[in-house]
Amino acid sequence: MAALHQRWWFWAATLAALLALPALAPQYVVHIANFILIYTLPVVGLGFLTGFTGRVSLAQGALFGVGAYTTALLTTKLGWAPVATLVPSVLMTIVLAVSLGGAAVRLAGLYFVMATIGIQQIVWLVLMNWIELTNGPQGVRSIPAVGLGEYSLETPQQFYFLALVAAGISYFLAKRVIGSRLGLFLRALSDDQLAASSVAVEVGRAKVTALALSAAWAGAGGFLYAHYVRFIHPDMFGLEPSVLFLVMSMFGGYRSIEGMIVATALLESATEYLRPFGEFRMIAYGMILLLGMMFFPMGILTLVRRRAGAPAAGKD
Amino acid sequence: MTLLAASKVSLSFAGVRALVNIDLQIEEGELLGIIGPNGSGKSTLFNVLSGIYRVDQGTIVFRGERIERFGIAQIVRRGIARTFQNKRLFGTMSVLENVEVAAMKGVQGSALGDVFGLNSSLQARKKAGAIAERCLVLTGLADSTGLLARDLPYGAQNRLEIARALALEPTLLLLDEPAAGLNPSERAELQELIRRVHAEGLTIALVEHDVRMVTGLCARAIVLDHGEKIADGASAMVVRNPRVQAAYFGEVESEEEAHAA
Amino acid sequence: MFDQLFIGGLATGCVYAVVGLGFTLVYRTLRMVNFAQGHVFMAGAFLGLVIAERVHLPALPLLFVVGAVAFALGMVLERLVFRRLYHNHEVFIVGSIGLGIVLMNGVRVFFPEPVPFPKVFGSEVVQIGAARFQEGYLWVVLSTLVLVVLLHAMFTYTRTGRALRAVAADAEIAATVGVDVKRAIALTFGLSFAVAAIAGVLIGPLYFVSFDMGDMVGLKAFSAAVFGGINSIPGTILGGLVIGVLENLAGGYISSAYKDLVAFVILLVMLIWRPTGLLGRETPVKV
Ligand SMILES: Nc1ncnc2c1ncn2[C@@H]1O[C@H](COP(=O)(O)OP(=O)(O)OP(=O)(O)O)[C@@H](O)[C@H]1O
Ligand SMILES: [Mg+2]
Repeated sequence: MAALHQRWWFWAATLAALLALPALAPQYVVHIANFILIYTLPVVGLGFLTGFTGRVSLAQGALFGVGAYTTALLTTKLGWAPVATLVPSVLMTIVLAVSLGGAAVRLAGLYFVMATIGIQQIVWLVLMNWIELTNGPQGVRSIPAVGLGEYSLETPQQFYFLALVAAGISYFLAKRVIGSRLGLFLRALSDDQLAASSVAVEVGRAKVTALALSAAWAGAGGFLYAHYVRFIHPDMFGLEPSVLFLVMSMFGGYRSIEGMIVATALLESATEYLRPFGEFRMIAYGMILLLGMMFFPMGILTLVRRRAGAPAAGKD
Repeated sequence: MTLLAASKVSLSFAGVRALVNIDLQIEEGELLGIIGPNGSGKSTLFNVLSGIYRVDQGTIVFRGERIERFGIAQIVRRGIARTFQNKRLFGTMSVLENVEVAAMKGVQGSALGDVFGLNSSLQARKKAGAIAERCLVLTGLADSTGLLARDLPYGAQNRLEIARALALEPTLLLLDEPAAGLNPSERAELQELIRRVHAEGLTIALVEHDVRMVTGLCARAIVLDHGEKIADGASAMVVRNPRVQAAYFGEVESEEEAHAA
Repeated sequence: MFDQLFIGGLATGCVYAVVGLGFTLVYRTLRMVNFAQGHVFMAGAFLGLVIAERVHLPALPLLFVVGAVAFALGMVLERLVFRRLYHNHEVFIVGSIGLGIVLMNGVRVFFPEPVPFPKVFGSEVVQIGAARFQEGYLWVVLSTLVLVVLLHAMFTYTRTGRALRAVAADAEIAATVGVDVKRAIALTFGLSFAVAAIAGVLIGPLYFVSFDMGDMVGLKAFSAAVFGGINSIPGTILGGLVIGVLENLAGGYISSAYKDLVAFVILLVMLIWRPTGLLGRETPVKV
């Protein structure tokens, strides 16, 4: 029972620290924290696919962009209120992901990766070239801040609480997904697809569901992102963020939501702190990916966990 | 009553005739033995019955329904469960979870419903857990529920496959060489287990190389050779059939010689 | 107009084919996709540039030198880097993307702006039918032809080539008949680097060279390989040519904005329709 007790304190302390952060930390830290909170959504969503079905996607950045563009266009072109566009953004992302990737998600692992590269590029090229709809390389400007009644979440401090709540909801829902029969099915089919079908798991349906959920998380993340940065451009949703999200979800280690969130925080802070290095920043970033994969192929947190002596999998 | 009837089932792989015009009936409540030399088509027959391979020709009727075009999961839902000759467990999942996945078949509700609270996720897991628990007790695995499947000793993996199949609450259970690689005492335990689940009313088809085990357990047996059914009848009689002796025991003897050498 | 577009497309198609070969060589052997491939192509172009600016080499020796250096680099990187990524395909993908980012931004430090390439292949204009071309286009097509013939000869007639094929078909069996699998894998990376770098030098004089030129070409070459069959060498070459020609025609007749889309739509459709590609073969799974 000591472990549970420890856990309880750990959670309370984490929550207190998170709530106090905007009051205590300088603005740029809050700013980075906002990005971290936003990114945990697409990363955790991607975790449904990578960690739990063994299907690596390099299209998460594009789906994130679909969410962002949907809300950006609905608010700037049609004048919708930001809060009203959350559901359409999420739905649009799901529809696009399932219609482009629904057939592909049934493919064996590496072929699915190949397909997601196609999806990533197609989405990016359309965002770039369908100028009447998306403004193309001009991007979308003056996206309104999210308003709650009279109150508008404009500063990083104000936005922080929205991002925190969103990340919190995403975390708890994700835990539910993984603890539910879907999580069980996904883990089973990633271990052995044939065996999974022979115990009555509808493998195709489970995979498409995982894809839809991962898209939903990406869409919601994109929604937050658009209303935080308030200017979006197709290049924000190219292959680069897709790789970033994938790496965040992989560095977190196998099948651990907490790990993914920690990895998101570490990597996002790292890339932010590398900013002053200018062009060397990207070299350092590439090195992080390369060395990370060379030396910690199962995620950075496996190091910690191995030390702690806990089993590598079989949580909950 | 006939539970499953396959007629004129044929299947070839790039010229290899794995099954040739197989006619087979499995009666409700029976324990059917299937024997035959290596490569004679026993596993292929199971793969066809469980929907992993599509037949080239022929029909399979299970409880009055044509199933030869059904998918794997569809057939399991109709009540045919199986184990694999080369163990196919969910290695990174715990013993309990391995069985729970299968037990979910009997639990109402949908995947998305579980997540978004339309039906309680906890309740579904609990129900499945109860079914799983029962199967694990039956197979003597109740003490290892928390272990990862891949960390189980080989004999226990064998039983876990059976537990997982039982959790599907099948009408027909296909066991593909469950005794392979077991030591004599594990073999005896397994035999006991098969007898017990059979006694509870489950229909079983058992592929097994050990003829003594087949004659001991099964009243009826069929023999496959080069994809053909060459004998079908009381197991004690079947093994004495000259064709079977020629096809099967020759093979076994030479195999034993090879082992001895 | 058609001739012009067709032959232009053929030339870019050759580049996709040759860079795509790099993907195929590695994939056949390891079942892994090396996403640094496009950046190796780019690095090859810059290597050619640096050499050509310092030493005045005729075209053929230049191609040879770049190929040789890239070959050595591929072998070395296999030893130092790739070997540690064989864990599974996710790890390999992310690791090789990381390597690509390092290569690209490493070059960027020295060449932040696009630079012209010395006209090592001559700059005469050639007339074929109604189409007029720089000499360089012919070089691309002819060199690709020669490269493919050489590769084919190597795989068919040399011991090493047969060893590489054996490893590609089944590494375990190859090892049991005495093939040095580790060496074969290193050689495979050497070859894949060499062909991509040579393609870089070939395309260099036709356009400006820039640090990010490998991005799109890499992804399209990859699409070409998948389209033709990523485990088939003839398939990849066919895929490269088809994509090169089709996208050029689409760019000319439909809309230049969506020219780049062609390769990826083809990729996606092909994967869904026939994941093994036009000429690839499936390996059956036995239960
Ligand atoms: N997927 C497949 N592709 C090609 N050939 C196959 C395939 N599956 C089975 N075969 C062939 O079909 C024949 C029957 O094989 P099967 O596995 O059914 O034999 P078996 O009776 O189960 O043998 P064992 O006692 O060794 O398990 C063999 O010749 C085998 O090589
Ligand atoms: Mg068998």
